[in-house]
Amino acid sequence: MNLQTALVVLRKELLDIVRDHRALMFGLILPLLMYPLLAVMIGPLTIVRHGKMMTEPVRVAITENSVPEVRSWLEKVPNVKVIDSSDPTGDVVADRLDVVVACEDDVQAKLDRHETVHLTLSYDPARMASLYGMQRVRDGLDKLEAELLQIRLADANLNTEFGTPITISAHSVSPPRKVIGLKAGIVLAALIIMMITLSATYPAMDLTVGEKVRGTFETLLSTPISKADIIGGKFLALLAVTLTSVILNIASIVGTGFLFMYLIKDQVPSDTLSQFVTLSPATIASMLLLLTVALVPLTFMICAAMMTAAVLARDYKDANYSLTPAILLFCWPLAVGILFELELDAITQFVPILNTTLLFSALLAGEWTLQSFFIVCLTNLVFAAFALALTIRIFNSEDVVLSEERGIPFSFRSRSDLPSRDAPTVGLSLLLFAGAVLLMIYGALPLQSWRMLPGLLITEWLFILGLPLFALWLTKVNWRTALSLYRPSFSSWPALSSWPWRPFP
Amino acid sequence: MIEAVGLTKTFTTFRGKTVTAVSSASFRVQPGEVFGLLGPNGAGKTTLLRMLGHIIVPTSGYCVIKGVRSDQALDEIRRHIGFHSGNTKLYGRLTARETLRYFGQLSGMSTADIDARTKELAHTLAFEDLLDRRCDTLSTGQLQKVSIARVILHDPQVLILDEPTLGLDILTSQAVLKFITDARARGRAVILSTHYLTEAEILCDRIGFIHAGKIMAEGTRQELYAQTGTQNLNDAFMALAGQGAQP
Repeated sequence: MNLQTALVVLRKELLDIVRDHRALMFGLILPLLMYPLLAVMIGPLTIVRHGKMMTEPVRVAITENSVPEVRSWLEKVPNVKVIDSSDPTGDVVADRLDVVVACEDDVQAKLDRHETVHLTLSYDPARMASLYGMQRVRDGLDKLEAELLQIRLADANLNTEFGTPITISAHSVSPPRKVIGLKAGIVLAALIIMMITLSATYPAMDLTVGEKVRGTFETLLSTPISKADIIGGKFLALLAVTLTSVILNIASIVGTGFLFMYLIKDQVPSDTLSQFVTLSPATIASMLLLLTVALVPLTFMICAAMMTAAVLARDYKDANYSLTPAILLFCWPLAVGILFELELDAITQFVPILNTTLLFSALLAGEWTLQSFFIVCLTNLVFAAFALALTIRIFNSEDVVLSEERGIPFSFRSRSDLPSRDAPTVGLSLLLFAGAVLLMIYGALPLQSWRMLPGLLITEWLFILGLPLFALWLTKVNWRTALSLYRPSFSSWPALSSWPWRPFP
Repeated sequence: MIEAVGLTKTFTTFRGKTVTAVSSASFRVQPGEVFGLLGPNGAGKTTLLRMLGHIIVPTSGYCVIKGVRSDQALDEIRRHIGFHSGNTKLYGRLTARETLRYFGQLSGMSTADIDARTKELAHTLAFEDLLDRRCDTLSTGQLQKVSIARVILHDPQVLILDEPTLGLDILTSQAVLKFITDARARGRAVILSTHYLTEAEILCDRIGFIHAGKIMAEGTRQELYAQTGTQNLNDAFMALAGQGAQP
């Protein structure tokens, strides 16, 4: 690749992108505006709603079996308002009540006999007010229960520790930074991967398929530069735009986060977040630097993969169909990292996307090593180089200039409308593959677990052979050429005839 | 001078069939000569021109320009070619000047050369006042002028023009025809594909008739008339098309 020529292409592409209002809007302006606007619009609402829930009295009713003792207990709980209700459960569902307390009839008698009184709190977890209300009522009753216990112990001339033979306290050996960092790292990685993917989608399409749609593709190909130079320049442009967009996104999120924390500083006391705040400026700076450095090979890899997916498309619709599976593909390792709580080790550091997710966690938790950092960055760069080489290879193929039918041969009228063909289209092959996989999972597995031999026969003759043959017949594909079935040559007949008598393994 | 030697292009379609779009096309175009490529739709004209312009690679055969073979020094060959077709549009968001600068740089020209050549071509093709306007604000005729300037910016020895007057009004078509005449006068080898037989009669020194991927006849107009026993290009075209359609 000639770097000078690639830079000429890069400059032109950047100029083109800067003058494209959609690319500017979605890549640069929207990320800057979206988060502060969301914070300004949603933040005060959340604060007001949260404050209202904390200050408004909890509406509580007691079931018909109520007794005066329980009512007096509830009235002692701060900020609780006891309301009479003929249908307490219905009122909770209808948001006329927050909590219903049910108890037995003989509360006083049980208390007198020093027995246990059982109370049931009914609430609606779908409503935050009801959920918070239940917690506040429960906290209040817990305090009351402790007071009653003290009275009973005093009546029995027992000391206060008699009722608590064992107390248990848990102590975390991990520093709060590690606990929060491991979780926050995955969230941060997920957010950044989504940002990179979304930021790269439109430019990747515009830089590749956009040339075809606008009719400038052949103009570019008619110039005396290699296709590697074209792809190189376009890739650098995609990388520059995506990185700029992602950095703006992150800057906007950080700025909005500080603004939001400032707005709610009096409302949310946070012991855990303060752990991060108490990190030294040097630690925070080095953490941000390492995250930024790790971001570059990750962006490099995602951009290269997106370009590979987009380069063969003929139009924007085609490109959308190519890029959507690529985006989903990036989510899989992320999901695996979240679900299985994996760690960065000798295997996971070589799995793209997953390795960066785990590296971000390790960086935030302060549990990273220089070796794993370099391996992750290098792995991403190697994958990116492979993707880029593949893009150049595809770009070199004439399929990008000349296109053929790739969809599924289909007619709403009859099979006779379809042309005969010697090989299935790409669309038909993919559909057959998907159908066969589904049949193997939902058909073959249950059949074989039910009866092994018939299950195997049905799997092989019906699912593996029958389905493709039927599809080939239906779409008028020549099954001999499609399945590469040729008459053996004369010289191969002796070997073929000896096959039935081969030694059984 | 450009020489096509046995240019063949076959495609394997997704249906698994091998289609020969162009079969063993050989001809030679001298400097200061306009070679017309005529033929019905689907005859293989665009594929042949794309091979000559090195947009696609021939399955077999090669081109020779100034003694250099395309299968031996492709990059060198491409510097001598100016390619224009209905599919070579311009970037709408760039101005005419930026467009010419971009393609000049891709052709390996220096900034000073690009600026001087831009000034010269804008004057010759009369679009000086359009230089700093974005291409998406230009009319079809204005775009065609910029497009022609793009093709000849690096002063190529060979011009490949695929239906350059398609969809243009009479005035713009005349400007394009004058440009071709001037290119011939300056000693450029021009390969012109057109459906307008009048243009071919006016411009072409020699004509090749292509049908079903094969060059069925090649020569001056008089030679084609004699070969087909006709008196004009229209009749010659119909006679050759009829021959080509026979099994």
